[in-house]
Amino acid sequence: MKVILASLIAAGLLLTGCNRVPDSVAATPATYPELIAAGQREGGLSIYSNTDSAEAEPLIEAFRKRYPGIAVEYADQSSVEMYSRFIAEVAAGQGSADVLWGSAMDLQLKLAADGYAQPYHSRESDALLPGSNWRDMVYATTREPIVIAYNKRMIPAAQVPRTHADLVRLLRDKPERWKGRVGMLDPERSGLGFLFYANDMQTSPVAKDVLDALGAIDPKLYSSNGAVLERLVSGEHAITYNMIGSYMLKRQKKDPNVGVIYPTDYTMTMSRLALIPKAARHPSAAKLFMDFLLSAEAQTLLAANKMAPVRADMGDGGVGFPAGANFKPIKVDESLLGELDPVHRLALLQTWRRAVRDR
Amino acid sequence: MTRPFRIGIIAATAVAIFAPLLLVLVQSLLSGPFFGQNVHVTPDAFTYVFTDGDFWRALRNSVIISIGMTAIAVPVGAILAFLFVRSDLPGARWLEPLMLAPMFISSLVLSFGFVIAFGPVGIVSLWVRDMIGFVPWNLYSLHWLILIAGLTHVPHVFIYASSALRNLGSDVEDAARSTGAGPLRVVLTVSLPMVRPALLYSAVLVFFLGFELFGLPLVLADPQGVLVLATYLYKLTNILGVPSYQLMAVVVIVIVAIALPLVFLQRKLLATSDRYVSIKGKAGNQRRVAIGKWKWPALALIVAWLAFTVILPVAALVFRAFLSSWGEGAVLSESLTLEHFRELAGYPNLIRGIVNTFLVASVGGALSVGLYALISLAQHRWKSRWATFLDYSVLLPRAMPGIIAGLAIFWVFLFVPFLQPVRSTLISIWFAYTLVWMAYGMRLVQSSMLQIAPDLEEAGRICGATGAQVSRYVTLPLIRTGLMGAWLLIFVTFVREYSTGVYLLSPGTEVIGSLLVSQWATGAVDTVVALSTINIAMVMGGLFLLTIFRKKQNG
Repeated sequence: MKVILASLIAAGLLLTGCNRVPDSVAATPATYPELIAAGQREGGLSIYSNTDSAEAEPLIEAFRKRYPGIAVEYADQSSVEMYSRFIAEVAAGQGSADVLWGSAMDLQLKLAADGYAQPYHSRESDALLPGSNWRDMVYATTREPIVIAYNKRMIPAAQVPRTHADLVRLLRDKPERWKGRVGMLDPERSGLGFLFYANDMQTSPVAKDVLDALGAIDPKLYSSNGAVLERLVSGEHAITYNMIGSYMLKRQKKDPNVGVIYPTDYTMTMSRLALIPKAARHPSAAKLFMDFLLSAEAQTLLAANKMAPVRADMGDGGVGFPAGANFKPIKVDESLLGELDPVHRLALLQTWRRAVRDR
Repeated sequence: MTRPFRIGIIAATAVAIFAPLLLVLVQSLLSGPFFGQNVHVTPDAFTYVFTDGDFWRALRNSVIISIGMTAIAVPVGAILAFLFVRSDLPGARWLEPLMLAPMFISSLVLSFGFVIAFGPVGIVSLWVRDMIGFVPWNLYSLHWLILIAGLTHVPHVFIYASSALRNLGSDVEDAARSTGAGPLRVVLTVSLPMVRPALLYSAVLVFFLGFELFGLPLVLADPQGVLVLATYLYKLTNILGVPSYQLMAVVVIVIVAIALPLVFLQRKLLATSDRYVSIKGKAGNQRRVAIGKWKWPALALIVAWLAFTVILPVAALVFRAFLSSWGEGAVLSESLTLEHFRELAGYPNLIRGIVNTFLVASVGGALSVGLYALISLAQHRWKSRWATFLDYSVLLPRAMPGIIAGLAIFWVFLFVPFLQPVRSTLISIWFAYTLVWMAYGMRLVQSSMLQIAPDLEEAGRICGATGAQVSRYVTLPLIRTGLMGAWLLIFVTFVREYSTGVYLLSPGTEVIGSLLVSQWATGAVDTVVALSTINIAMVMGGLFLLTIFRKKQNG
């Protein structure tokens, strides 16, 4: 028995040795036809993403049609799984995805900042909205408003809040009416919940009032989108705060009882971020995919699933944003890393707890 | 079996069990991912978790839930098993397949069935409210969580108890009846005590599943802010922004620390397993006990359990799959739709997911049972430290909540060179499932083996059979029913298993569970319920066929 244990431990120690981030990156071919030829030669492309495979399918299909020689593998998983799987695979030197495409903006940027991503200047770069490209390593690929959603059966049209201040008034006016009727993602347990909360606080002082008003009415906190959305649809919750707009709009298409509010004072937007890892085994195919993802064709396909384009020449791509919406994008830059700083993070969570949980 | 062969099998099993566990142990003592750079040994993770109030709250809730659900599931499961297997209950054959229903529906989805039926604006709740003016229950309270967890784990006890009862000759019960004992007394003082090993095993396992409970608390306890260990892990994932494996590893170590004394206790209680021998050299006939006037209350008990645990939530779920909207103020008749199924049909990899799920559950399940039987035989009738050691070990993989077990097994496949080629095949997923459910399958096989009198095997030896021949021609045929039961159990368990395989899944090896979870994450509950409806229909069909098959076989 001792022998087995000893050898297992020894194996464990050996494993800890293989932990390097590869730093040799093949140069991009000089011309585009060469890049295409190189991609075709590689013959494969592996994408890790947390975008549901049904939503991504039209995109993948179009890419296959354009580059028939490249076999695409699309693995959808949660953003945390994606991150864990990726860093472990790279550490094991086993090769990993060729493209990482995820909505956990902070984790994606951290991977790039930690040196996992390779730079590539997409040929679509100039067509993108400002702030969509971080150091040629991380690209924003969608624009999805963070909205307030409500159940139309529960809130008469006249009472529907238009701004954050309206929401505060509505909640404070009759706190009894809203007790337990408001749901949201839990910043303590959901990465997205935290991202939205932290950026909300950064964007406007009114967010503090919202927090305060929410704290008074015992909001229900969730760690998954499915749980909170279903409770909105059933009327168990009348309002859900800071939800991903694209999911709400998709549901609205099927169930007209779902109401979506883009607060006119400010509406945050988030983006799904894409990067090409240094460890990519099919770097040329990955570059082709990155260009494709940012092309008008792919952006139109994404817009069909309510994920609005990041191209300056496409407007809202038919998603149907209200006129005069005041969008405040969550910036694709180092500020995302600040939110991962443990001290800063714990301080923000402390504020949250005092205002909401421990009240 | 020869001694080196036994030791070989046990050692191989131990390596499979301890590889991921040791990784977790090492991880709990480090400052970052074990494969990362600049990582050093530190007790910080333990300090953090042990000084976190939420951890203690979660642990307390998990312990309360585990105790509560064991206290509910074991008696109910045992009594139902007696009624189905040993009594002349009317309609037993047709009701029995339904008994297993809660096991093969993903607990995430089943919990949603409860919300749709009994939630604050659930279909049953609104109906009751219309009659009496208010809803007299709160589905999201801890009591309800315990009740639902207990009742949905009845099948786990049932399947153990019923397979043990099936092997029990009627002689003991007849003896009790002929000396004037009533049916109730026979159950409580003869039948059930005879299957005490099966009941004890299942009690310990259900207790453990309480720690691992994830879907139910995620859906039912979230709104009240009630944390359990598995949902507390979410907090640990998020607290530092990046997944903090060392903190999660500490939670696993805590659960393992609770597991070991429990196994010790179970072993003490079963120290004299000779008492439970019921398959002896003498031919025994099995007759059902006439329960007379108890027939109808018994049937009522079963129907009540079925209605609450299976029929209402499942019906609500299936109904929901045809609705575009529901709940307070929704007009259901105007919301009927087939849209969700149409949407599902357009899902890429749907068919592949279904095929893979069935492959892993049926073929893989059979292989797993074979493996469990082999390991059990290696340990069978062997008073050795090796056997004791194995007893303590098999429960340990289940002490890891599914998500962490999955991560640890993924690490093993990733970092052990000779395992790398199979990492992205169904084999790795099968291996992960087999490992975490080992305690389950093995206990089932073993509780059947305990019932075989040693004289049968000794008779074989006297006639000149080798150890292997005795296993092949005496022991195995005698536990055939037990093995069938084990396969059925493993099949349904693998059908709904998902979290353990999550890191091992890759394009081409998707299973239904993975599709469910990715839809859940985007809030597409519509397609989740549609897919679950299909899933339920398939497994119900399978169970129905099995019932007919069994009936034919018996006839």
